[in-house]
Amino acid sequence: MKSKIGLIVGKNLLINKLNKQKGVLYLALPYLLYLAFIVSLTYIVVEYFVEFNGENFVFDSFSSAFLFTFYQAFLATVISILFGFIFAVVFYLSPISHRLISSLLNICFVIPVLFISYGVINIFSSNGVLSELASLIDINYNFNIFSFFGILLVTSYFNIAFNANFFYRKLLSIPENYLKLFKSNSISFFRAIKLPLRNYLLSGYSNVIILTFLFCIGNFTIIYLFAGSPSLTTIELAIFESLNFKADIYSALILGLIQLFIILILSIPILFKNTNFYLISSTKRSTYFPFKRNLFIYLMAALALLFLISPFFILINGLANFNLDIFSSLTFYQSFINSLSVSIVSVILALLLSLSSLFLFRFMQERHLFLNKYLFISIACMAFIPSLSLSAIIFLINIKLNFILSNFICVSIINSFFITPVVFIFLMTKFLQNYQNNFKLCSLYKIKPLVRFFKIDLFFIKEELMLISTAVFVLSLGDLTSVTIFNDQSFMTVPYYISQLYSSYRYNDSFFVLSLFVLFIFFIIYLPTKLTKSHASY
Amino acid sequence: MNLKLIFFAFLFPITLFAKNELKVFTYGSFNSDWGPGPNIEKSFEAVCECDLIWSTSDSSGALLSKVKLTNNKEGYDLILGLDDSLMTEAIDSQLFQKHNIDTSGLTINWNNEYFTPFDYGFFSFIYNSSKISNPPRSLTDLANQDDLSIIIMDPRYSTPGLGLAKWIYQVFGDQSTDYWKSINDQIVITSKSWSDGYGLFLEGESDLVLSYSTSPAYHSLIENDNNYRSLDLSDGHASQIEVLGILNNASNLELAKQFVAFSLTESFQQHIPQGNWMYPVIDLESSQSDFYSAAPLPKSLQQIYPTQNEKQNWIDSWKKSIDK
Repeated sequence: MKSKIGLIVGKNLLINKLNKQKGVLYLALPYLLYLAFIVSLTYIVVEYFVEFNGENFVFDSFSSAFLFTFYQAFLATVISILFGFIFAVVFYLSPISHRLISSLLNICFVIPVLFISYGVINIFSSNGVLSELASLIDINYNFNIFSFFGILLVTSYFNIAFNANFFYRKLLSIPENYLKLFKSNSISFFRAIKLPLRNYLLSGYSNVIILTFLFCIGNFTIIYLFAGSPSLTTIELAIFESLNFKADIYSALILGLIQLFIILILSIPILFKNTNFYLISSTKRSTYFPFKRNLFIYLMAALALLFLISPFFILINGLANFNLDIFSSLTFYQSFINSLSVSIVSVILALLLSLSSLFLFRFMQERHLFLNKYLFISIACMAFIPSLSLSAIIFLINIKLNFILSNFICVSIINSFFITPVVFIFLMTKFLQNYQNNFKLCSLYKIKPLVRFFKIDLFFIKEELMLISTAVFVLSLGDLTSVTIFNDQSFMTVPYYISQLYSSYRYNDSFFVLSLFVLFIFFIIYLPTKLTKSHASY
Repeated sequence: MNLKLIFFAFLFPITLFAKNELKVFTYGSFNSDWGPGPNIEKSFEAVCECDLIWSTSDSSGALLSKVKLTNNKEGYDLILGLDDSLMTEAIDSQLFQKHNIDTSGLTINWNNEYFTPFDYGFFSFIYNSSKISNPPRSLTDLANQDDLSIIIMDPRYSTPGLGLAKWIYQVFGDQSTDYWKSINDQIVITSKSWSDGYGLFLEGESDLVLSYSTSPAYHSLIENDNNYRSLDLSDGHASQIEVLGILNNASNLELAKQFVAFSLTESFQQHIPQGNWMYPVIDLESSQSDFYSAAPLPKSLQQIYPTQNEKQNWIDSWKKSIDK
C-alpha cells in the first residue's frame, strides 16, 4: 500500500516538475511514447489470451524444446566460462599486442552471427578446410558440424570472447602498485590470481555469467543454421516453426511469453544492480608487466588466437569466389538498401529513446526522485527480451492492426528494442558525469533543459555517441532473427539474402556476398575512430 | 481549382493505361532466377495484358501457414506450390474457391474441384555413382547398408519430408516405425527444407539425399555431370503432385481463372521440366525428350490424398523412432 502511494506521489511530483521546466516534456516524449507502446502491447496480448481461452496449448509437445534450450545453454555457458578465463589469462601473459587482442574480442561481440557460423562451416564441414587437410594426410574425416557439437561450438565462440573480454579487461587494469607488490614479493601470476586478485577478478562476474547464459538461450540464428535433427529444437526455433509452418500464433505467443518470463526472472539480479555493466564501460590500463612468460603460454595464446580468427578465413574463400553477376542482381541491391534503411531507422529510434531516457534519468537523479530506478529497469529489460518472442508479439499486434505495419517497420522496431539498452548503458557513465555540479551551474545561470541538452550534453558525449551509434548500427545490420519471420519478395535484408543463397546451394555466391558485407562492417566500425580521433573505446 | 485540374490531368493517363494485376504467392525457388517463374511470367503477360506479380515464401509448407495466419490480408489471388498432402488442410481452411476448369486430358488422373495440378514427381534418394558402386535396390536394402549416410527432411515442415513418411507407410504399413528405427542411425541430418538438405548433400555431408527422381536430370542437362543418379527401388516410389488454387478473396477473379487455365497449356508446362525439374501434367514427351531420357519415370506407387489424421499417423511413426 505504502509503495503504491509512493508511486502515485512520485508520479505526480514528476509531472509537476516536467510542467515547470520548459522543454523537459519534449525531451521526455520519446520515453513516454515508449511506455505507452509497452502498455498497449501488454493490453493487446492480454486481450488475445482472454479471447482465446478455449484454445489448448499442449505443453508436452514442447517440453523437449524447453529442456534442450536450457541444457545447451548450460553446457555452452560452462564451456564459455572455462575457456573465456583461459583465453584471457594466456592473452594477458602473452606478448601479443593488447590493442590487437582488445579489438579482436570487441569485434567478436558485434560481428554478425551469420558470418561466424559460415566461417565455422567453412572450417569444419565435410568440404571444409579441416577435411581437406585430413585428406592430405590420409585421415578419414567423418565429422558432422550440423549437430549438437556445431551448435555448442558457435554458441560458445561468441561467449568465450565475451567472457575473455571481461577477464582480459580486468587483468589489464590491475592497479600498478599491486603488480609492483607481486614483483617485490616474488609472487607468481597464478599465485596472485588464486589469492590476492581473486576477489578483484570475480567482482561483477555473476552478472557476466547470467548474461552468458541468457545469450546462450537466445541463439536462434545458430540453431536455425546448425540444428540437423528435430531433437535439436529450442524454444525460439519452436516459435519460428509455429509461426512459419503451423500457422499457430497461440503456441508461438505462449512459448514466447514463457521464455520471456524465465529470462526476466533470471535477469533480476542484473536489473537491480545497475552499476555493474563492466564490460562496456571504459577502463584504465596498466602498462607495467612483472610476470614471466614461457613456451607453454606462447603456444596456448597462439591456439586461442587461431580459434578466434579461424572463422575469418572465410573472407579469403569468399573474395576468391568473386562473381561479377552478383552486382547485376536487383535482389542484392534491394537487400543492401533494406539492411541499411532498417539499421538507420533502428539506430534513430534507439538514439531518440535512449537519449530521452538518459535525460529523464538524470532529471530524476538531480531531484532525488526514486522513480529513476524503475526507468533504468524499464530500459535495461529490453536487452533481455528474446527477439523471436518479441517477433511473435509484434506479429499479433500487426494482425490486430489489420497489417498496417510493413515488414520493414516491424523489423526496425524489434531491432531498436535490443539496441536501445546497449546505447543507454554505454552512454550512462559519461552522460551522468558531474551531473550535480552541472545541475547547480545550469540553475545558477538559468540554462533551460533544452539548451543544456543540445548545446552541452550532446557536445560532451559526441564521441561516445558516434562510437556506440556505429556499434549498434553494425549489430542491427547483421541481425537475422526477426527477418526470418518478417520477410517477403520486396523485403529481405543482406543476412537473409545470404542465407537464401546458401539454402539454394549457391555457397560460393553466399560466401562472396558475406565477405563483401563483413568488409563493409569493418569499414563502418573503423569510421568513427577516424572521424572523431577518439580516445573512447567499446 | 487549377491545381486540382492539373492533378487529375496527370492522374488520368496513369489510370487509363494501368494494367490489371495478378498476385501469385509461391515458394522462393519457383520464382528464383533459375526457376520457371520468370519465363512463365513473360508467357502469361504476353496473352493477358496484365502484370503478374510474384510473392514468395521460404517453402511450400510456409505458403499455407502464411495465408491462414493473415487470412490472406496481403490480397493474393492465387497460391501456386501447395502439394497433394496439404490439399485437405487447405480446403478445410475455407480460404480457397472452386476453379471450374476442365482437367480432363492430363497425364495424371485429377478430379479435385478446388485445386489444379501443375507438375508432379516421384520421391527418391539421389547418390553420386562415382562414390557408390552398389546402390540399394529396395528400401530394405537401403536400411541394411549401414555404411550409407542419408540426409532427409523434417516431415513436419517439408513436403519431401512428409513424402518420405508417406512412402515408408505405403511400403511398410504398420511396420513403419520399425523401418524408421532401422534407418535412424544412417540419417546424419534432418533438414528443415529440401534445398537445405540437397545443398548439404552436394557439399559432401552424406552419401544419399531424399529428393526427386528428376534431380539427376538437372546435373546431367545443366552441369553436364552424369554421376548423380536416382535409386531405382523395386518397392516403387511415392509421388507428389504440386497444385495451384484460387483464394476466396481474390481481387481479380477472372484473371486468376485465366491463369489457372493457362497453367494447363503448353505455354506454361514447357517451362516445368527444365525449370522446376518435375514432370509436366500434359504430354510433352516428344518436345522434352532430353528431360525424359535423363529422368525416366520410375515404378510408381498408387497416389493417395491423406487426411489430417493419416498425415499425423505418418509423422507419429517417424517421431516414435527418434524419441529416445
